[in-house]
Amino acid sequence: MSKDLTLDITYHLLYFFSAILFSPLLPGLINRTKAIFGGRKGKPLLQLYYDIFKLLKKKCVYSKTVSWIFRLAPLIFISSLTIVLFIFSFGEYNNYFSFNGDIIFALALMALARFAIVLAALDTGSSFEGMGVSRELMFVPFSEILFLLIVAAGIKSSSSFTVSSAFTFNFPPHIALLLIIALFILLTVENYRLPTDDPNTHLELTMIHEVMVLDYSGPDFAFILYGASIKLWIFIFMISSIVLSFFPDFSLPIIRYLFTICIIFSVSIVIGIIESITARFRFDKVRRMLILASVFCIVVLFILIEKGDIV
Amino acid sequence: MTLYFLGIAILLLTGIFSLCFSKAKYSLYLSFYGQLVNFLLISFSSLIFFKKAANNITYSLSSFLPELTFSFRVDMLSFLFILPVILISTLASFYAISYLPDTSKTKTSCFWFNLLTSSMLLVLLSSNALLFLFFWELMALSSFFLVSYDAQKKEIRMASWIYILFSHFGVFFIIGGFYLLYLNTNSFEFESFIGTDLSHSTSSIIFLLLLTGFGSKAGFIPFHIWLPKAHPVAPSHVSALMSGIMIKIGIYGILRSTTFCASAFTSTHIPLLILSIGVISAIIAIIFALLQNDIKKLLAYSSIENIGIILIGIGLGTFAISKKQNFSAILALSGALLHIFNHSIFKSLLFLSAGSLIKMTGEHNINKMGGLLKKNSFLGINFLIGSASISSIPLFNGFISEFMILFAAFYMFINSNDVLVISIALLTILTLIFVSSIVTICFVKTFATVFLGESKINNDKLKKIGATSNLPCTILSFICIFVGLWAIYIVHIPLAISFEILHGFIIDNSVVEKFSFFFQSLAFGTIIFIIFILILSMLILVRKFLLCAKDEETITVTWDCSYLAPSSRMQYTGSSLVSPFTEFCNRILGVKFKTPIFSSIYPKPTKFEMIIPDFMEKLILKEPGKIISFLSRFISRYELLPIQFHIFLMVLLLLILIVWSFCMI
Repeated sequence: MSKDLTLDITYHLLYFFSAILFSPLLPGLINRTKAIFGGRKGKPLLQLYYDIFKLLKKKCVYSKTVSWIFRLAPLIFISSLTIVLFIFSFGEYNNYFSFNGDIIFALALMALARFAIVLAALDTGSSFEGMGVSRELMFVPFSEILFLLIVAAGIKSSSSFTVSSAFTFNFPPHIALLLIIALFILLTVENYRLPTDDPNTHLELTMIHEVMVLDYSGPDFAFILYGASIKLWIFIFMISSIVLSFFPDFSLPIIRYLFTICIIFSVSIVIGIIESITARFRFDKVRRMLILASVFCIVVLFILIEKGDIV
Repeated sequence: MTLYFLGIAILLLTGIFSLCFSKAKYSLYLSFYGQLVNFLLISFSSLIFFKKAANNITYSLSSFLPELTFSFRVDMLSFLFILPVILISTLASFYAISYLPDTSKTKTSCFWFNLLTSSMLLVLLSSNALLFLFFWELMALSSFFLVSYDAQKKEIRMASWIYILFSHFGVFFIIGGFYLLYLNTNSFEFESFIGTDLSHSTSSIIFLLLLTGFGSKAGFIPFHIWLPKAHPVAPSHVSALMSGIMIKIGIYGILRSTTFCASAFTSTHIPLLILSIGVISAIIAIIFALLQNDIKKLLAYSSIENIGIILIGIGLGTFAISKKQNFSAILALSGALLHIFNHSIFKSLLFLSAGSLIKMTGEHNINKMGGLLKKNSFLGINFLIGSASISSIPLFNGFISEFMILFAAFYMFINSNDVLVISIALLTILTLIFVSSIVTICFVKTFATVFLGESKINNDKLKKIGATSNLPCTILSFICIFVGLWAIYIVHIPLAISFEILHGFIIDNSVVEKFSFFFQSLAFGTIIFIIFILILSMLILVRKFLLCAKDEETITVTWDCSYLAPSSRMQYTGSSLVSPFTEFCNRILGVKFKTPIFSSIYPKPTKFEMIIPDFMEKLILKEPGKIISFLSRFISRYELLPIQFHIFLMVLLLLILIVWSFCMI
């Protein structure tokens, strides 16, 4: 085994396991930032870890309506997101775990996760959860197109068909900025953050994602909370790897790794700041926001084609 | 070849003999045995076909008529279609045993069913244009009689008339196309069609004629109107056969005609036309499917959408040829070919399960079903697998074929500097992603409203369905998973076929080396699937472990926000799930709502109705219909003239013809 390969595998696994370990920290960071902005002391940073451990120790309560789909869905949700996380924990260049077309697999696995959770929500037969599903599904075609356009811009500039090279490319600043804005909008929609959905309103009629998992309890709910935090990590990781293109090359991979982790935490602080100063959008405005972000990506593609230095 | 003919002869004979029984049960069994023997014979001969690695088998016999030779030929392309034909028709005839009632109509239905299967096989085998047209017509007629199974009902008669109208409309164009080919080659043999040097414009015209003709059978937009009308009224096993296989025969015709009109593909016009037809069909049809509540109408619209995806694959492949992107060409075309096979599997699966559902509940409207997963979990799992495959969820077969087309499009997108190529590739990618996300929504809606939640039908109203009707669905589900997981071996077959189709276009062999790229990603993908299954089973064990230490799980009601009298009719229905989309698309589709008007202080019971008109129907069916009825009224005025006048007209015509023929000499 060459030294290069060993190094690459080590760092891939390092990124992967730090995501597994630290991803429940991100909601804590966001909440703490919001609390500081609101002048409160706020929950502990590790609140999600406590919640997950507490839930794992509890037992499950099920509705008499639900079938095996409801019980299986959290497991499918978390296992498909884990694989997406594995695809999205690339280090620097020559990545031995990435392959041509891995982005299609990542997208399809995210669709599988959504498929499972949506079917589980409808399995309860609750009209609240049906409403959540209906709202969630309304954004899906737009957000998937946006995701694809972002990736298309990435792979067109790096002219390679893997996620790792699409996101670790050294983008020119103006392109990187547009892509970061687009990714940020995608993040709010996919992870149900403000201004798409307010995770703090616990009123059934106003929620999107929370209302879909209303009937879960015990270990099942722990799986869902953990899966959601992994999903948040994946999207923040994408943003951070584009942010890295603003900085010069790192001499040591370990410095790059530490820097990435710092950026991930600071991006979640930025999310907290944005959540503290914006109000929630009306539903149809979210769709417009997604279309706006898609237009950004199309502008990026135009710039790339216009420059003509792509091979 | 003998085995093929033997199989078809057995099919026809069992079909005829099934008319003679007094009990319909026996004729159903006989028809099934005929299908089974045919399946065994043809699959055995296909094994030989693969063992020998022969490119094609031919058989020909001259006949009493000039230009008509009984020439038959099996090559890789027809082989791809023969396999699903025999598989689906055998399973469908097995399904029919428990599905069809014991009446005399059933006996004739058996006969037409076997005739349809054998005529489809003969269409695929024949390699003479006249022979092809004869069997094509036989196929249309036998399926017409199958659709009009319940011919006493007026709407069923109407639907089958519309079907036969479109079928004949198509034949008209096919005859035109073949005749133009005959004028250029002086032969009706397919083999002589292939080698001719037609000019670009001639071959484009011929291809357009054939595309229109075969398209009316394949049912892409705007020739799709017969599909959502004929499928809901036909018996389910017939819809499975028609939607799974027969519309694909139209695609077979289009693929055949690409080999006849090779020079039409030197420029980008025709490929772009095919691509845009595919894009339009896929997008419009899936939006219509999303709004439907009749389960079979929904499936019919989704068939149109899948035909659109197949055409996108073919269009992208041919476009890539004209732009010298050989790798993408082969990959996109083989994606389309694999999608043909996959669609025939999962669509038949869905139609057969829909038939069981309709038999169980006596309802076509999905909003009135619900909670059926607990009543018939086998059916539910089969329907779920079908839905997951059609929504191109990974692990199932639908994903693989869409992955191939997407991979080809991405490859073009990355490796080209041509703005046209980049934008076409991007358009393809976006369409496929958009369509597959809406398909997912559509089938989430269908599966959830039918199988999940609380039942909206009284328990005693549900009929029991035989266990045998689940067997064909289960076999099809296994094929879905098998193709999804073992894709890396299976994709060799469509790749080989598209190599053969594109043989004349691709000169350099360097393209073969590029496929190691693709196979590498497919291998990685398979590893991902295996890891997924491992993680999933590990988590199931973890969950078992976490829950085993505790006492029994608590069972309560669904969270109801303290409402004391929840009823199953309060659940979200399919229409309410997609109502944001209905509002969004309303301006384009013109959905009509009949909202109740409350006039008095004490409102009476009233109802809300939503009508989804197909705007193409007015354009394609109603407006030309008006012109034709106007013309026929005009002509019918002369029908009433005395007989002497008619004789005079005939003599006049004869005179003109005689004079004309003298002039020609």
